[in-house]
Amino acid sequence: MGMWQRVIENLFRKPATRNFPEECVHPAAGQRGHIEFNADTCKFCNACALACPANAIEVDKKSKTLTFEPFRCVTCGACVDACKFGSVATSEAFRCPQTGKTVEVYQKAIEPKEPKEAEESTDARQPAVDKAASD
Amino acid sequence: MSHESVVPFGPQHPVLPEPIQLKITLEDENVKKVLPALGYVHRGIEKQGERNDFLQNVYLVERVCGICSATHAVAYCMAVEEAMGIEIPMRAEYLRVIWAELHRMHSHLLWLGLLAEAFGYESLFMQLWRVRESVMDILERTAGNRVIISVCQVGGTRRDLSEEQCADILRSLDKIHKELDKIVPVLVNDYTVKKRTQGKGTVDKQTAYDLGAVGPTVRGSGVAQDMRMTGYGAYKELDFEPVVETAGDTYARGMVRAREVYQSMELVRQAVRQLPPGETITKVKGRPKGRAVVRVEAPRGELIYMVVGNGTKNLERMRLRVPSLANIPFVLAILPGVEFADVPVVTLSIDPCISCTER
Repeated sequence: MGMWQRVIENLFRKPATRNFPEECVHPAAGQRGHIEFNADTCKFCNACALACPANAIEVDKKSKTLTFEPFRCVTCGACVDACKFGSVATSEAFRCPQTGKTVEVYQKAIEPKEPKEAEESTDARQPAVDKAASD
Repeated sequence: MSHESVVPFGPQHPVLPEPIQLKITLEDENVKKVLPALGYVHRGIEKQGERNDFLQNVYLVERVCGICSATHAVAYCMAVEEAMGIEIPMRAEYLRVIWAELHRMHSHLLWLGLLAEAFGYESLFMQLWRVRESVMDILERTAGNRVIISVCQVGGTRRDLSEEQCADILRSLDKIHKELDKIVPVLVNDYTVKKRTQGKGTVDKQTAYDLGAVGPTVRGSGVAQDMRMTGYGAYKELDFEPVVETAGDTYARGMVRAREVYQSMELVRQAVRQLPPGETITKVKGRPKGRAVVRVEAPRGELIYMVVGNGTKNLERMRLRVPSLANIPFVLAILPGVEFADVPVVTLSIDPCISCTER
């Protein structure tokens, strides 16, 4: 009897599968899909690289470059917790499949330095002001 | 005239979640001797644990096993907190219990599915794993990931559960309970399932205890040993009894796990209702110094963590004794005498987690 009950129930039940691609599964809010870096607010303090258990981040303060290897990353979020400036965040979507191991390099735009004020000089050389102007 | 042959069981076998090789010497159809060969999944986690920062080790230790991963994280965090003398907020203890019990549920449902598949009952395997998907969805919605949840940290937990998330967990558990009430009686009462599991690999209470088995393996033989009764974490405030069966065969071990799924659901419901307000993490200051040993109840049994700190940010030693390591000698002792066709089912009945064993 139990089996026949199931048979009749199943005749009127909707399918157990989803009508993909019309109906997609959306990742849950707060899912750790991938890590995103923001080079503009980054202070290159190296906290995220020290916290990373997979050594996926490399920070170079001099050239203001952050190198991130997404294929080493395990999306644990330790870097997100370590960053005090809010430059690292998790995002919900998973990364698309890649054909080769990619490396992401984030570089902060380096602004050209302001020419310095000229100093009093007793040298016979060209004054500092003119030298800076011709650069 | 009996005929002796040696058959390798594993390292790849449909019944095994991870690779282990058992070289079985058969006499006609009965097992005479078993020789194990481990080492297929050894990753050197204990050594890497000495090179990592003690805070980074949580992420390493979670990846020892994908099925009981939160239990490893909880045990490691407890060990380091004991070594450093940190007291974590009660809310964090409750949250750890909730996530650990959800892991126990999904681990046992996984095992029940594998048991069904071990004797070819694939449709039941699919149905059980379909229910398991609901548990994985709860983990994804609350912790951020399905398998390796990375919520435990030294000092507490990283995430908190909001009121809606708690209500969502309770709702999902009700649905899971209803589904399980339809499926588990099939597993438990079916004539074929009973024929394949009852009377196979029977071990009496004293032998199971002497062989050093832990977890549902030993609870299926009548020994009421459950590390949660020692009252670590929030378990001292929750009301439950260890699930024990007395028959000592594969069926009894299966029944223990099936009943523990219900017990875990009840524990999660209790913990969610009793969740105290407060913070979820305390600040960690200093470095671990000294030794700490903790025992927790992983889905497969007693998990022991020993952590030795020497005052630097790297640990001196991190040693894990996983439950499957204690259960493998048990299986080697009970396999002689078993028929060859029953070897997969009996081996599976201890719930072997070889990636835990080999770290």
